[in-house]
Amino acid sequence: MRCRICGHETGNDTDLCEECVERASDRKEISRRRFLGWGAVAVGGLVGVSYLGSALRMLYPSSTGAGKLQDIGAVSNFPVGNYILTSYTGDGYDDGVYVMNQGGGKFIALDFHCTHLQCPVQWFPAPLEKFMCPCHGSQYNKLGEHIAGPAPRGLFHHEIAVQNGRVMLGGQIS
Amino acid sequence: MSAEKRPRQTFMDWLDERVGIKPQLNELLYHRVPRAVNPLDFLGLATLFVFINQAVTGTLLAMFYQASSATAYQSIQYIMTKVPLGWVIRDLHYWGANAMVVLVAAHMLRGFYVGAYKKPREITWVTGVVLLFITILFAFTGYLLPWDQQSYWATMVGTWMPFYTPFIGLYIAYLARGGAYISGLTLTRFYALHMLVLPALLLVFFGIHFAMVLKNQMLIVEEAERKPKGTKGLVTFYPYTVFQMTMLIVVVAAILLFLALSFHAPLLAPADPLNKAHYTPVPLWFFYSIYQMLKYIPPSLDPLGIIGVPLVAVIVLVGLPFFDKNPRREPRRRPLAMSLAGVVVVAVLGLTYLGAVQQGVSTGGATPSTSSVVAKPSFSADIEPIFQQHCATCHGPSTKSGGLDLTSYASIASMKVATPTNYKQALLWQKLTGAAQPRMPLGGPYLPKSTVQTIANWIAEGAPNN
Repeated sequence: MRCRICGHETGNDTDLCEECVERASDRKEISRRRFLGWGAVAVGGLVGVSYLGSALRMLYPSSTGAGKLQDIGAVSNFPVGNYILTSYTGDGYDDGVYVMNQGGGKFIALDFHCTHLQCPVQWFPAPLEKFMCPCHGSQYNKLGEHIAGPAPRGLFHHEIAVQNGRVMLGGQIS
Repeated sequence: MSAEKRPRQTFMDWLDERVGIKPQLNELLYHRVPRAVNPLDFLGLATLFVFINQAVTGTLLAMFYQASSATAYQSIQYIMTKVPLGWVIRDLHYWGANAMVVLVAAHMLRGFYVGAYKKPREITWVTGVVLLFITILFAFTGYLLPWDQQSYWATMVGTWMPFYTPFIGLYIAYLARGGAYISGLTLTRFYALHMLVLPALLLVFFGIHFAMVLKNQMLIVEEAERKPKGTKGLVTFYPYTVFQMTMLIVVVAAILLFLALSFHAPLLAPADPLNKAHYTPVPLWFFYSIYQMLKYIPPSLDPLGIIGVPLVAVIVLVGLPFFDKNPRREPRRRPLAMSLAGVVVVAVLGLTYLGAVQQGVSTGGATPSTSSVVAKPSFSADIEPIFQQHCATCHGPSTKSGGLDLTSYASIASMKVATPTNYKQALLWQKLTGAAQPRMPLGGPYLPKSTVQTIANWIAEGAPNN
């Protein structure tokens, strides 16, 4: 058969001679063969990435930030100046939270997991007035700020608000 | 009817006509191996057997286990108390899990020692390292499933470690937990990993690992094959080695059964996210080395210890066959590799041991090692261990709560906590009994009376540094 590009005899029953094929691939022309090969990889990759992306989207929790506010009791249940351990439960949350009435309608809500390695901290009221962690001895002051031990930062805060005389606790915000 | 005589066809012939692996099978069964073998060369087989034990007992447990935060704990209790043989199966699974970690590590050390990671067995080594990580993930995910205090809090700590990865740490931690903290969503996530993802991964990598062993042969076999035919001390794999392997499996199974019958898998109080009983989290034993290391480095280096050191370990383990270009296999000819590995092994074992001692593993964690009162206590033999175990996290060299380091005699003396000899006036005694508030150890559990009395006796003796 004759080559359809150069017209020379190909020596077999294909219509492209080896020289022309070689020349074409030297010029980086996309041959059908290469197109099909890369096409298969690309389509396969796309399918794989779609699965992976969907999986990550599905598995990444949507509830780690500020969550739905939950009623944790009347304002009068919270004495001014001392912490009470309450809990915040919900999607991906089942969490101890120290809540304190700071007076004047202001509240503070601190997550009770040490920021070092998440052991549960304990509140020690006056005269100590600080949070201490039993695992590696990290300490936090009354506002949850880091004062001693290996913790890298202060305790995490939760969203907290007072609505119609009820204390409303939300998800972790910072 | 033609009465043509045909040779009798056996079942094996029938099978071989279709499967066609008779030559390979013959080669496998009758290849020559040394008669006397070191049991250490069978650690891979022992690991495989224990994995099969895990698969069987795990499947049985899964038929009774209910993976939800409301039911998991009760279903484990049900398995332990109501299901016939349930407790044995659970104990076998528990001890099998520990044995897997130990055996995989030992198998790897043996492979390192005999130089089995070198060309052409690099892929065997790398897949083996991946299998080690899969084993650790198996243990970590399985640990949460009983949903007791121990598993809940260990997982809380363990899943927080990725937090120290720069930039994406918090995302990884949340992704692992399926939420901001450990919840029922973490439990189902870990269950799916433990039951579906990890077994699939393990089978894939074990398949490659085993295929590579078959293709490249074991090192001892390769060495045996080089010897001329008829050499003394060589036998065929079947039945000699097969018999030895069976014996080994019997021994491993017996050890597992002994452990399962003698020491039961713990089940503490059910997980309490509010930790009302003030349980102090304890890491899994194979994390003791990291846990202990963190005590010796300054807090500013924590990210390096939590992320950096394990990352370097991963890179070194995976890359070993490619870093180590020395073609020699004899330990004596590899002084650098052997001494570096020796240092690492001693460090890991030492830190694990120290971690275990400080966790009071032998005494169950809560009670001190001295159960009876010591009349004339010595500081180094009786008093210091008590301080190390119960006080050192807050009153240690790096934390020094209130300026006091109870692990240093100088600090105790200069802070005058163990004087006067009328021990009831000594601050140390007052703090331990609650005569002075707040009582120590802060938040409890407090020391048993006998331990406090031992300390009182030491103070009465003048608090000597002996």
